Amino acid sequence: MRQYKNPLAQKIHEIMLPLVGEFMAGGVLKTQSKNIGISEDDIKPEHIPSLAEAIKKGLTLFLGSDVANKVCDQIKMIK
Amino acid sequence: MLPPMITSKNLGWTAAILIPLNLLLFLILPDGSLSMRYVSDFMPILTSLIACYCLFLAFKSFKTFDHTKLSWMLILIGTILNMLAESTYAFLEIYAHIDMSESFPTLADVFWCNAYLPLVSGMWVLYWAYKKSGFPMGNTKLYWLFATLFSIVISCVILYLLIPVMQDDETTLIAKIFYLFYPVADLFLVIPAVILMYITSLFGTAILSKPLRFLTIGFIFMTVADLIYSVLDWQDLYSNGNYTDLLWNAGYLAIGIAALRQKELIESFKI
Repeated sequence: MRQYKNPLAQKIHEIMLPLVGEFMAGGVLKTQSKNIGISEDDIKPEHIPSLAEAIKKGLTLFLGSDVANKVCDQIKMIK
Repeated sequence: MLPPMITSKNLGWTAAILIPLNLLLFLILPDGSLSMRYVSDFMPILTSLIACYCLFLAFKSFKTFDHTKLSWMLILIGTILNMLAESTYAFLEIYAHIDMSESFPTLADVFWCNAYLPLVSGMWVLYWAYKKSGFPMGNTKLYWLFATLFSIVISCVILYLLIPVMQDDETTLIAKIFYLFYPVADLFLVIPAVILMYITSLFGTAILSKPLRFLTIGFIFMTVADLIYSVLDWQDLYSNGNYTDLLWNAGYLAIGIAALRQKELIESFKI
């Protein structure tokens, strides 16, 4: 499993890993972090809600809105 | 009495038995016999019915009506129309005693053609929803490779099927329209299927990828079968017991497995 220096990035990665696999988990975190103007290493608690919402959009296709919301809530609970 | 609970694993085993059994029957039954006709006509009804039931279960498993539920609903509607087409074909051939190799198109083809709209729409909604999601699209150079390969396939279809059909004076105009419709509609179906197949490959063995992977495999099987059928039927080489049928039946079962995987995936989050 990929290791991040940033513990928040690591926790998000761990939540996503079983769902989307190693490559996608890393790719999604990188893309969505970039979309909010930061790198994975710079993720702070205030970034978590917007990252969670962005990740939810992608998961909705595979899981539907209700279940994607649950995963989103799980990510939002990361401290 | 409720139908027995089926899981994607059970259906996988069913497919692993049913398809080889189908092949065995095709090998041992006499060509042109009534039993061959029954097997050839009823197997697709059975497999499409299974697919419809599984798709209905998947559709029901989504609570909110979003793009995902919409796409599964469209695929369900398209598969129901396919199932009606298979049933109509069987009825016309077995009970109405119509020589289906001489009568083309029939009412069954009306159902098949109408099935494409919801099926194609469902697949493109899935693709569009993925594109909007912001998730990685993978290696963009590969899309150029896909485009090149598709161009070659389309060129071959045009050169070796569409143009000869158009130039054939013995084929009626209405038959020509239907002969041309199927491969063109199949290309619209297979393009998002192949793209989604590539995208799901990026997920590796992750659980999210499994439903779409089986769905795209199912549609690719059916598209290949349709293209082979178009060539064979136009040349009067298709008859009951043709091995092309195995691809359709496998396609329906793969779609059924995809639907059950989707249902199971959603239910795994409710625990």
